[in-house]
Amino acid sequence: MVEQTIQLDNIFHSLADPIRRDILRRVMECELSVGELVEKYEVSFAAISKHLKVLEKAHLIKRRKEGKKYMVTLAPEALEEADKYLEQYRRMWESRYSKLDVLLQEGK
Amino acid sequence: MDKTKVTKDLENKTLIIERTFNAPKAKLWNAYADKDTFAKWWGPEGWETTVKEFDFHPGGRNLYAMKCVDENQGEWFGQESCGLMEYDTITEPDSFVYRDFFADAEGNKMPGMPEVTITIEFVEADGTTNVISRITAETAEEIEKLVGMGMIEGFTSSTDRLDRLVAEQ
Repeated sequence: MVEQTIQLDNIFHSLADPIRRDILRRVMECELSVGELVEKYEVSFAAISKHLKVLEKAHLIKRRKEGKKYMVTLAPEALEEADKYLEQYRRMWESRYSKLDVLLQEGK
Repeated sequence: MDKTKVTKDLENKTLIIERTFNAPKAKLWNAYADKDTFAKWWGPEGWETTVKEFDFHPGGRNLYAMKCVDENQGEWFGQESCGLMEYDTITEPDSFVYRDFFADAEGNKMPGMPEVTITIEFVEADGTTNVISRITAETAEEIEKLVGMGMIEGFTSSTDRLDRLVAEQ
């Protein structure tokens, strides 16, 4: 639970930045090298590197070395984590709406 | 039965919640616009709602408290959480817009909690009604925060619990 909370905090922090969200969106589609990512933004290599570290800490991306290049891809468990919270949120609404459903049928 | 659909649209800082009911839209409208009906369903399973203020008009507000009465919900049991709605535009019978706040028992808005604008739309087709809730926040981060804290909106104790958990590290 504590681990989850800290993890969630990291995720919030990671997603707070538009560049980081954009990086996530890109690596969700396909694996990209750090160099390819740097080319897409008007910020320095160091800045992108920093963003990648934040994303890595939140376990949202994975980096692997391929020759001289570092390849970045989305961590599959990241989405599972996000989906889990969305699923709990959805269940809360389902629970609320089920009550409404019963109420509507009674009132007929 | 899982009939509720939740879609996250971070680009537009919006969460969309959809659910179709087997009832005409006038009845769904009433479920939101009538104080007593609202109180009967707004609290999720195991949570009872008490409406303290209710004025379903533009500029009017709805202050409610939800209390967990289900012993099986562990640490939530006995906890109370308050929410405040400020109604903005009301377009009967199609839609209405309100601002949603976490509040204390007196109806004071809680600082540092996500503040969102919610549009509820009722679309009727063949005797069924689709209720579409669009929850829009100032930032995408707030949407994430809402989902994460989520589980139950209005769980004012969440931040306290978070503080405690972090302090325990």
